Amino acid sequence: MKKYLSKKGIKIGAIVLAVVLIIALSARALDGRAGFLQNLSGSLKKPVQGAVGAVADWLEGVYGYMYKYDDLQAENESLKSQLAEAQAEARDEKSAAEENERLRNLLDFKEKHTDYELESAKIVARSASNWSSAYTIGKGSADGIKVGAPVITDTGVLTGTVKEVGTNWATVSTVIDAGTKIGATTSQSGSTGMIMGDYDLMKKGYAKLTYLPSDSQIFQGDTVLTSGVGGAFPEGLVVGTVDSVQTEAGGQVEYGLIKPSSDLNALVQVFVIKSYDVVN
Amino acid sequence: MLSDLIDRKKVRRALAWALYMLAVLLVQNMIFSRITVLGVRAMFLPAAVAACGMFEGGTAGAVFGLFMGFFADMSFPENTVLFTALFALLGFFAGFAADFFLNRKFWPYMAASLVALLVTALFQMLGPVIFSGAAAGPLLKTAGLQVLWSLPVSALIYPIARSMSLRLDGVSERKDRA
Repeated sequence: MKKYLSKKGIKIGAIVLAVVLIIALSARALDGRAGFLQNLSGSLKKPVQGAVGAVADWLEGVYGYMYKYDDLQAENESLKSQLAEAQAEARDEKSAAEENERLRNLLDFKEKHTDYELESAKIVARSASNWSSAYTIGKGSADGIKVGAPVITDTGVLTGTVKEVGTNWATVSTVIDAGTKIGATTSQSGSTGMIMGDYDLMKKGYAKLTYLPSDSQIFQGDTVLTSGVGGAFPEGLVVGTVDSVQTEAGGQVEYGLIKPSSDLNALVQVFVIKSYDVVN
Repeated sequence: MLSDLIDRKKVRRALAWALYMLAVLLVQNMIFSRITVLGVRAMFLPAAVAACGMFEGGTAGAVFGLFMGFFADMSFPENTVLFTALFALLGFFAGFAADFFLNRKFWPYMAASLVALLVTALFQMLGPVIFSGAAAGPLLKTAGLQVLWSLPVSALIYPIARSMSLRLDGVSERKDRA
């Protein structure tokens, strides 16, 4: 046993240490930009992720159908003929119509924000981690996407920020990620604070609106917007609504529980804000 | 000739385990990224590494773990090198345990998997606790649920890894062993 450990263990330990050091040093040097191997792997994974994602979506659809089967069966007879036609049509048109809707919403949004340079991107993968909240989009540095760029929905709701960029992919940390820090203001009361991620809340799909001035008040149902302070985000992007007002453990400080306005698990297409006018 | 230089058996073995790794990574990232129970997802990659270590030995387990960890670190945005280092060591020690202490049956595999899952969850938890000052209580709950949800999937990995290893060993060698 000792021989086994000294013969193989030391060698393997040394190799692991060397690999770890190389990766750690290169990650530090790259600072958010993907390395060659990571980039290559990301590029190779993209089409596979797309295909598997489509199969998973289909399976989810099948599951949903089976779950509601009893209810559907009762309605089925009367609707059968109409349904067959409608379904065939809907299948063909659904994806195009949805995209059309999203782009129309975006057009309205763009008319209000002429300074925004947007890049449309499809979500190709979602993080399997319990310790962060992120997704991967199918656009990267080749499309002008940079680390820190805000990512919004077609209606202008902030979903996250770009954390890492490869040539044709990028990882986006969502607004509920534990590392989130966004300057925010509430639309009704005008209170300013900071949206912060929290490991426990992330699991439940929430973030915190905290660091509120002592004289400010927030109310349930308040819409939370980006404040634009510091220039990291454009001003006025909707992030979410105050779901409830809570008190920190000491009982002195209030914070708001923020429910994101976008359904982060159902996002299909997002828009990266590549540039915008910073208002001082 | 080039073909004489290549040990086809070893190449076939490496390719089979590479395919197994790809399948496990795809299932983890594509399917289990969408399934949450009480807000927590299963994370069974450590069990897949332990299976390889147990059936292929410590060195192969470490090499497999190193690659699996490298790709896992790419998929999990919060890590840089954690899985690369950890999975290589888990693969090695699973092989070491199977060579000296454990037989390669289902329950010993489940015990090794449980240890691998626990160690991984604890290391994942340490980052937020040390670097972000997060409270350990809620993180422990997440880690516990992660391990719990991963166990049934880990059980499904055992027959796959076992039958693959036996097939690769070949029928004749199996007979010799018997």
